[in-house]
Amino acid sequence: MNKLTEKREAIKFDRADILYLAAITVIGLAIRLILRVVTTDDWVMYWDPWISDLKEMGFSYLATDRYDYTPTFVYILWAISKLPINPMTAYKGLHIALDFVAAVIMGKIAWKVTGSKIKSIAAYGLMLLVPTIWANSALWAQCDIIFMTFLLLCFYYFFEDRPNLAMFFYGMAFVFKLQSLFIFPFLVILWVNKKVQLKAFLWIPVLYFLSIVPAWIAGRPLMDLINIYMAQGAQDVWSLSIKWPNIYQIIGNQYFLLEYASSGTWLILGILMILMYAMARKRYRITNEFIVQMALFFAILTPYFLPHMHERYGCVADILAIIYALMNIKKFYFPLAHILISFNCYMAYLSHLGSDEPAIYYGVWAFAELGLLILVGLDVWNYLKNPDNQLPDSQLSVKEKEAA
Amino acid sequence: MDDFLRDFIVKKWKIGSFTFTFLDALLAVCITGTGIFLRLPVMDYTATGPEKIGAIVLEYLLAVLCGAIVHRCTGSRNRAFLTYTILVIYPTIAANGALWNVNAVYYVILFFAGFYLYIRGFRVLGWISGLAGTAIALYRIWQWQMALSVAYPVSLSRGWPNFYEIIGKTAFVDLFDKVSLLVLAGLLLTLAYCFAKKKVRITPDLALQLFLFLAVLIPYFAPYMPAWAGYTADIAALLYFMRRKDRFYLPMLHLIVSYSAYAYMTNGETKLPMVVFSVILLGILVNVGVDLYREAAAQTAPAAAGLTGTEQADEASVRETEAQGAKS
Repeated sequence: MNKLTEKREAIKFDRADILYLAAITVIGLAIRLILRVVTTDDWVMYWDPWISDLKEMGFSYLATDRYDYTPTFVYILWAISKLPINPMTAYKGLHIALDFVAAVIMGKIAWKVTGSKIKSIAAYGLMLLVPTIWANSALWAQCDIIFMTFLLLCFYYFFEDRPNLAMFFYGMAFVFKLQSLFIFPFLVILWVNKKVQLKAFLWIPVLYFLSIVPAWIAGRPLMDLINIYMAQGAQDVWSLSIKWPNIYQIIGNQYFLLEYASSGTWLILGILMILMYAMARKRYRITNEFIVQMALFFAILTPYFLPHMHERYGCVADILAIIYALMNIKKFYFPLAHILISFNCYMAYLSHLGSDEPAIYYGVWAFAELGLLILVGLDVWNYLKNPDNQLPDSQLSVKEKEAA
Repeated sequence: MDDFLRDFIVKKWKIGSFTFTFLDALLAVCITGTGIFLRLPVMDYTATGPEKIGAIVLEYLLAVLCGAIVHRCTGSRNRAFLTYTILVIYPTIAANGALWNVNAVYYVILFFAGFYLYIRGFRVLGWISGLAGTAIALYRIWQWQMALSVAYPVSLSRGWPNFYEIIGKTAFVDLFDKVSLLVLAGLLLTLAYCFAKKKVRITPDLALQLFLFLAVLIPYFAPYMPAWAGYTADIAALLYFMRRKDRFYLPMLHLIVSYSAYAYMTNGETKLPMVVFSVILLGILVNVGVDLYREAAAQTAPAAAGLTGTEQADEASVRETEAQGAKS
């Protein structure tokens, strides 16, 4: 049976499972409760003043250009501003709750792709212990878990063979964060291989447009709202890599700032074009593992060459590496290494290292990241080269039939 | 005369059921003496009292005990004897008591006694011994922390090159000390859950691997670990090497890391940055973890564990890989 369409029964929990789930949930919650008290620069400089303004101005704040995140995120802040509790507690509480939602989805993905109850339950538990997950929401007061949860749902529904719903959740992820585009090329490959219909891609602009409508009604110009990601990209341009170990940490991240910023963007676009061309020339059997392999490859590749990448931009690859290891235990080192790289970058920011290097230089981490990129690239290459995974080209088949 | 001596040194002697050669006896006496002479020159570095003398005696007992463990696990008298001879002159053991007067052997011996009792079938006694060792270890580390807390900057690592050397040991100390313990508890809970659900049979081999894995894992993530936190893993890695010759590099590397941590504390510097040792330890942890996973998979009874078809296929695939590895 095609793995993609294989249906699984619901998990039945016994006493030991429930005991483990309860204990690990308490541990996951305790970790987050301990860290919730930290006030980071992002909170002080952005979220707190934004929420204060929202309290003062109400919904009309959305008409201003004081925020550079998408309006959907600001709607959440608006809701938080209305709550009668400490804003930081409410903000972190929401993201902590999403950590648990993401862990449940991870468990469901594990169940879907492995059929193993033990792996599924352990995946839930391990997801709660992953440092880049708890540090992002409970410590740093960041909001990446929102779009990551939607991305996890996107993958879950791809595994369920419900591509339309998957694309809906991908669109939701895009509504919150531009980083969701890192893995966009894999969707194109799925379309080429008839796993997604072109109309499903419409979810991305439609959801984005719907999400900006309230802010538009509030009074912010439409073009401003459409270009919000462009405006975001124009900030934080003081270094070619903002603590993410990519190619600029090897060749130098403080020189040719303007020139490389532009050229680097064109370079990665060129690389992606070549890759998509190479992968779209033939038809392949699309398995769950190949979906994750491709997405992981692009999640590592894109921020490796894009300029101005932040410390947290490995988070998509972090979760994909976990799924990849769940599917193939021999790839256990992917999440181990990637989360270590990612968490090191988190700590470089959170420890206020500034322009100082961490204990292991960014350059060394950049080579480690390159190693992972090559390894997953080889996995993709081997998959594509395997004749068992290649499907006959439909047009070619017609010609052959005509000739016959 | 020459031939007589040649024959004499390899002639087997028998006392009860115990056979040995003159060479065995010679090495046993000489190495025991060497162990003492190795310790004597460094003893003046710290005050020598009854506690230190008692620790040195226990270090010898620990060497004998580890020899017995190796004999139990391998059935090889030679390897057991070799274990004793190596441990008597093991640098970290000798330095811990004689040079530094830390005397960690008082609780480490309880871990190994517990392990020995466990593999002999006295499981309850084994657990009691292990828990007693843990209680003493925690008390000793706490006592040491109290003595150092003023003299040392607040840091998540107190000399052991663990995870915090990589990510930064001075940030969020008062939060990460608790969080790391919770993460560690979560990891151990997950490990226990998987072992219990898969009904893994704990053989002496698996017990040894698990023992080594925990001895490396716990100090790697626990906060405030002192420089001698690798003491147990130093010895466990040697025992593992006695069981698996192809893992010869584990005790070597761990000993280098461990002694470098000692050197960092006693000399105030090391020739390599401490973070290098943290990366080596991570490599050791992964290596032992993979070995443990394979051994645990081999000791899983799929039908008995009530595994699903996919899980059984997973186990079968691991076994197949193992078999291919053994063939090659």
